[in-house]
Amino acid sequence: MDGPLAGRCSFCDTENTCRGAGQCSVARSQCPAPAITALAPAQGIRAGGASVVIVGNDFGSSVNNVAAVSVGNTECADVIYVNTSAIVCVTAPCTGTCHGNVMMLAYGQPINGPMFTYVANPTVSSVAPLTVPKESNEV
Amino acid sequence: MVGFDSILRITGERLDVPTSAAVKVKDVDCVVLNRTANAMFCTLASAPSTAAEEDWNITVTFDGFSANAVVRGALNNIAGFGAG
Repeated sequence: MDGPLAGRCSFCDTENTCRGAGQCSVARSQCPAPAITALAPAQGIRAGGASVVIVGNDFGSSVNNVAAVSVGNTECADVIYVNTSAIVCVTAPCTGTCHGNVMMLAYGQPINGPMFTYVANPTVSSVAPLTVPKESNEV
Repeated sequence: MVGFDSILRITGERLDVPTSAAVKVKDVDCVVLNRTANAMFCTLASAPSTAAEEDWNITVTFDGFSANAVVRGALNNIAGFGAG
């Protein structure tokens, strides 16, 4: 396959999914345009470290096909490739606007999806029972 | 095990927002059972190695954020939580 589709997966009509070229019996010459359809969860804490699953179409065959992945106006600290329909964004700490659409480049083409919002970090106020174990491993 | 409270209830706010939560009591993991916005429960897999009067360090880690507390063994006194 030449041109902009070189190296991209094929769209398998029978399985209704994108796969690597030659991995399906009935394939079109190109996949649907890359798109983001959903993400979960839609919010995370400002400290970052959340694993946000981004779902869509035609993300490619490896993490090298996506770039500049961001959620809530903050570029992801790490991106984990799952398959052509899903990647995982590990959120970075946010100090700015902390609210915005999920955005990324797929094959260099900018696409965006649903909103992601950073919220304040959790607070922990108590632990109960307050009776701390005084004996241990005694039968 | 005798005299061993294996279930801890941790209260606070936005406890259900992070995608991950882990609790450690001194040197022992406290396995998180469930979480809501204001409470979470965990169960200690075993008794932490400690003397009765010794302070217990509790660390709650959410994604990239952690909070620490000290519980005094025999006095049952929470010294207070602080962001880690």
